[in-house]
Amino acid sequence: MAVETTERLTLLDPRVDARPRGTVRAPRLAELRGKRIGLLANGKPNSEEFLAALGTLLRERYGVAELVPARKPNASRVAPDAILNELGGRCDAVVTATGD
Amino acid sequence: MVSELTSVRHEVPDTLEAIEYCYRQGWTDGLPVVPPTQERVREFLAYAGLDPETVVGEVPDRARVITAEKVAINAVMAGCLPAYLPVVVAAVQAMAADEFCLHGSMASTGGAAPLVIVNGPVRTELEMNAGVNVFGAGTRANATIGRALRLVLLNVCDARPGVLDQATMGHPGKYSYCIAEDEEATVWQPLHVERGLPRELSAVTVLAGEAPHYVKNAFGTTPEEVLTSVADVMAHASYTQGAYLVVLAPEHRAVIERAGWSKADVRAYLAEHARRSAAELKRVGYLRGKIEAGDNQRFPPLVSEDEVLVVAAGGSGGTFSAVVPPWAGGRSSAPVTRAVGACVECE
Repeated sequence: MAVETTERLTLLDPRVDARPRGTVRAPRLAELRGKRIGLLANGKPNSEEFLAALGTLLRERYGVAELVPARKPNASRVAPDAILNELGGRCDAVVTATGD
Repeated sequence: MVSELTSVRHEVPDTLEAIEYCYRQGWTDGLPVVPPTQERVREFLAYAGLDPETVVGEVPDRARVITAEKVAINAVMAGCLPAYLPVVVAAVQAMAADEFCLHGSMASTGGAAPLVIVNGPVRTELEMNAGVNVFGAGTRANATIGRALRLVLLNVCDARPGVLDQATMGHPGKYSYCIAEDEEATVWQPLHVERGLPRELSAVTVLAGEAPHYVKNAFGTTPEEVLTSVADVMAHASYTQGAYLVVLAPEHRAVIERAGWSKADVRAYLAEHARRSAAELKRVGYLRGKIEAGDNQRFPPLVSEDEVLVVAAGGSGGTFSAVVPPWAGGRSSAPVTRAVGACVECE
């Protein structure tokens, strides 16, 4: 004989949303000519070589005025505030890249 | 006063449907979970004396806060018993410590998993396995405590494969990775005592590790012979500098202990002998550059003594020990030890 069940369960959601950080995207640059561009290497092998090659292209092909190279001390961690503040203060835009 | 549970509620008709519902929500590791009902989660928190809002850890890189409520929900889902929650909480605290580098180690293509080593009286209270098949299946506490950590990583830290978990290979320990030390079967100091805690306390030590690599040595009769095999497994030609766990089985321990060696002696020997010449490393492209004069006699350092963690565990009768190499991020992540049941938010 089939048994009717009235069981209902209330489950709790195991997930967590990321806290909103109150950050907004910077406006996109209309052009690169004459701009100062940061090149943030993540600290892995070849990351700086890659960004250096990219920097050459940015200068020669897009007329970028100045490059500001920087390197994270640890690829697995967020860049220290000092680096972020310097790049944020000096650059019109920043390119970051991984190596290996 | 205990805070209310604040997680979003999901109504489902029955238990079997709840299991499928959890799958559809993407809440599982691929295996079925125990439905995290309000009643069960309250029972867990009450056992551990934890307020649901208590902050167990934070992952700032991911802007996530890990509360006791979320740890309890995921521990229920993993199949834990309420008595396991304090161990899970201590392990989450350890993983969330800055020196563990949780974000990097769980996101990395290196594909490590947090390995939990449990010491102290809680091992016997929870009937944890420190003996035969210690890394394998068959014991509820080992299996579900390790699994609870994985579910916390998936659901709370969003360590989803292909998203914030980019492991190239991953390994079976990413389902569950939890062992206990066989303290009663050795004359050596337990790991948590070596790491500065009183013997009578229970503790977890968590490290970001690759899968265990076996060390087979059936005929070694001296500590040097047995440990040279261990050192050789540590120093394979794709090694990572960082913290190594060495799990020595009873047959190997008998040889080493009989000679009067302590864990400190083992660590010192391994730090000196786990090495590979620069010439060999260059030959396989592990180091850059051409082989130069002197490279055969030059040995880049692999580990220091205090980076070797020695644990007594495993079944008797077999001449197999194990090495758990560190996550490829190496010294970016350090092992972390936390007491179980100690205050989380000390006033």
